[in-house]
Amino acid sequence: MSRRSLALLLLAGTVLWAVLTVLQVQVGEAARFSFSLREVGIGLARLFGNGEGLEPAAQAVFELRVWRGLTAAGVGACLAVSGAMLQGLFRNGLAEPALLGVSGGANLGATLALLALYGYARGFVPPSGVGAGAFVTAMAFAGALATSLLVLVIARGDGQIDVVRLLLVGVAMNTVILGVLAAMYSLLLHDAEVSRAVRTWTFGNLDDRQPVHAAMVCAGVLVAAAAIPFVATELDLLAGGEEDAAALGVSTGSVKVVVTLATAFATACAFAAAGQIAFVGLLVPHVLRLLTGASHRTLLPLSLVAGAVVLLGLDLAQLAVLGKRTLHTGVLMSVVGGPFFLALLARAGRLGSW
Amino acid sequence: MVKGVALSARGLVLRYRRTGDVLRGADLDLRAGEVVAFVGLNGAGKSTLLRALAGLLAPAEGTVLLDGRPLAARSRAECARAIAFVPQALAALPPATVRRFVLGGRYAHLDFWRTPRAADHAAVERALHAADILGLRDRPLAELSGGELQRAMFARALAQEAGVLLCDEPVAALDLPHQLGILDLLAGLAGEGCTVAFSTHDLNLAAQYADRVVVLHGGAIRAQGPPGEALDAGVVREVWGARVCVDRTADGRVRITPARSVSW
Repeated sequence: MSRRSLALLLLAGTVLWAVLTVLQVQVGEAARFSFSLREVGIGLARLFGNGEGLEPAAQAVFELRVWRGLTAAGVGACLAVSGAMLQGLFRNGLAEPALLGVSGGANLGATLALLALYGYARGFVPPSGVGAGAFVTAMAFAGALATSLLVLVIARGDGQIDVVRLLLVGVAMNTVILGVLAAMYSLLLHDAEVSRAVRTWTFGNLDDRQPVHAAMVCAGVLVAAAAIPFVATELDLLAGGEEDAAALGVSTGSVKVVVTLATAFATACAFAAAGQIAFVGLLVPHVLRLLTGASHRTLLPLSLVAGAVVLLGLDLAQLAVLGKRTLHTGVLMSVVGGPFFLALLARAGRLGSW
Repeated sequence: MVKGVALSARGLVLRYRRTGDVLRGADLDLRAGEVVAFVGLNGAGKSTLLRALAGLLAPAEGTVLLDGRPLAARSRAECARAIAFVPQALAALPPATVRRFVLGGRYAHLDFWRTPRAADHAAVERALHAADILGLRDRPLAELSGGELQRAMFARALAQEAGVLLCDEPVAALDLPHQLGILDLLAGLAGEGCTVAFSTHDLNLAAQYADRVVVLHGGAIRAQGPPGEALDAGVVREVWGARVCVDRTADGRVRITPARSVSW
């Protein structure tokens, strides 16, 4: 793909994302609060500190939708670009963000936070109100980042990060954490309230998002985007093997470090902000490979935009079709995205080239 | 192209963690304008030595010097601008067309944004032409024959425009005309001042094309010198066995002929 068509596609994707964002702010479950474009303008102006804003209740609903929209888009972007980078690094189309142990770690952090919030931590006074949500998010983020760093340290072994080893360590780490979590869940079954809270978090949640969530995924998006110029061409060259890339002048060690750290951070942000949303990291890059080719120079930037559009679009589509948001976004992604992907795979010959 | 570059190994010990020493204490000089052939049995360490000379395998002991400075002290990109390496095979086939694949050879020459310029595309065209695969430029690698793929890898190394060209069995998968074509090309590059080394199992081709033959055997350099000296009857019989005859052609070149077992 030429630079020109990449630029056009990126532009089109960004415009689509902007349109979806505005739509998502305009309508919502509370039918009473449907905003005209003018009202969107007024609400946005208030958000940036200008003007009177909408009437207080409407302004509050408006702002909630803004955070929801930004979080959804950011999560999609983080997960999709992380998936694309990891698939390139591992030279394995099955790699996805959860592989670095990030999902298990986020899960563990969030579960511990929820336990603390529900009074299971003796002598610990948890924050309440808005602080409670931020506390769970912060713990999920810490858990995700800590786990993925631990995975990287173990996989490093005697100096070099071996890709297969990294994959195995990630899988093993996830298994250990899932086991611990399963044990915790079964011990908690008697407490319906905590079980419910934990399960809700695990499913992936975009309700009641706060500025902190939006800011968090924005940080993830920025870090992932900043990594792209350093790894895109390099990941293409890694397709022939590590030594082959090294012979061409790629410093494979730094590519591995940049990819693993950037994706660990971006996925930690995404999972912490919205719980686990499965499949985006697998589906979006593969669909893009089929449609626009497998070169990471186009795949990575397009994944950012497409991930945002897909998750935001899915969130909106549910509202349009069902009239309300009954299903968690993560569940929806699996139920709708899965069959779509299967259909695409059934029709496709080659899995993209460059 | 940086020409007149010399590559030398001093006290080189190459070791794999599991299997132990492949090469014990080799000294070797590759000079500009010279074609060197590495020969030896399977597992004698030809590929390992080439990889170490390309800076892809860190020596357990000793150093590889590029123009007097250790490879280990240079960045990967710096090495790739000076040394091109043609592997025997790729770990996996990139999902690329021949042209995009060969463009990979320009990586070390690209700027921060990794955007190929006109000079890079021109180098790719020249390399495609030299390796006789211009007609295949838009084919996916997956649709090439073994020999075509080998020429594509060769073209990619040519596109690097490095002063040193190290080829691991560059003609093993090729038909006879293309074998000669590639080796003529190597000889031509050496004539222009490049430093060229290749490994092969074809002793006759080595004898015809190499200015110097290096015989690897039993973890050491068993012999090195002009083909007539390095491939003398004694060395050949010791390394390759008694059923290999060595004689001379009318114009004095070494000729190696395998003999069928009499007991058949």
